[in-house]
Amino acid sequence: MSLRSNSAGEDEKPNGASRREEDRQQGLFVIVPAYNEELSVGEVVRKIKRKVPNVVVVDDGSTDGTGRVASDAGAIVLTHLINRGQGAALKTGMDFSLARGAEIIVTFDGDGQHDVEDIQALVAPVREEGFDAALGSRFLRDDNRVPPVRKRTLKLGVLFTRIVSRIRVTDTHNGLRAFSRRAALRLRMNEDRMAHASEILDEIARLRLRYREVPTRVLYSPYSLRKGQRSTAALRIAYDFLVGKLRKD
Amino acid sequence: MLPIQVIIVLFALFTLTRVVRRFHEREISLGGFLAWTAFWTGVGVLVLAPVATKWLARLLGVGRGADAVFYVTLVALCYFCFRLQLKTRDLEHQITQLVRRLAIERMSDR
Repeated sequence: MSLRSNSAGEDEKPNGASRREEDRQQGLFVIVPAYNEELSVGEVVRKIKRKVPNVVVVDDGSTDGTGRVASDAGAIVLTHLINRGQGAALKTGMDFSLARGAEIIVTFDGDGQHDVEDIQALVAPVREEGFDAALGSRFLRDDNRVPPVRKRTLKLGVLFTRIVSRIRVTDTHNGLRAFSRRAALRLRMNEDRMAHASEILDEIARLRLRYREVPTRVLYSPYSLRKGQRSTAALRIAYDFLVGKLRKD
Repeated sequence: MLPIQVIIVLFALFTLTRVVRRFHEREISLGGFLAWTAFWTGVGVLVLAPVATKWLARLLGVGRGADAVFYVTLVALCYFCFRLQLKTRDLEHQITQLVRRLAIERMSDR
């Protein structure tokens, strides 16, 4: 399994500073949950690999060639034998990364809607300023064109989260996040399906983790919109989250 | 006695024998045994003495005995559905843990 990136200076003997940077990058793991994403996951992995050596794709019981495409692109591929949902896939990736010594974990959707350039902006508050978590927000940038129906649903999600979990964020279901090792070890993630996004915010509030929201780009394409959640799923997500929360408390 | 009363009482008695057997085989807890016994005994009593439903109706503030039985049954069914859903959630979670463990172990073995 290759954990090194192909940088221009790979053949040169690294000096102290670049070796330190390489060590830091070795502790950074990007987790990409993917379910039937063979059309997009290869490109996503290749782009991330240019910046981060450790890319873990969790193939969540795909029936297409997602796992093979991700592996060919250079990712470490964990395979769920049956589909268990995005929350379950993220947790699998996190457990694996923590066991491999991850110091910072980034979550990144496999449908190509995130911008690889945002990874560093998310990692910086955790690595440089001691935050436990950095949360991507599509609403902190003016140039993101969020479809109106989705925008309204997400804003309702923001309100719901504010009332139920008592955490003030501007975006609730953004798959781009970064966690310190300490935070990732403490998060209790029981929601297998889409309610995991609300659960993560709830956990951040419960554990009183230090977090920062980071403006991130979102690149909606017909493909990512088709693969994304329908707004009608919001009620189901809220129900799953509330039942899970009541049981947890 | 009406034929429907005979059928329901026989069914209740049959179910009670199953409840007792399951309890002896330790497949249900003491709490489950008592709850199910009370439930099926109640069904038998209400069918044999429908007048008892009037007492239930008065207690609940509902007009007719049959209505009272209907409302109580509805609430009980909703509760059982909810219990079943929680049980399914637990099972789903256990399946996920199994799938996760397999995924990580298979990767680590490579």
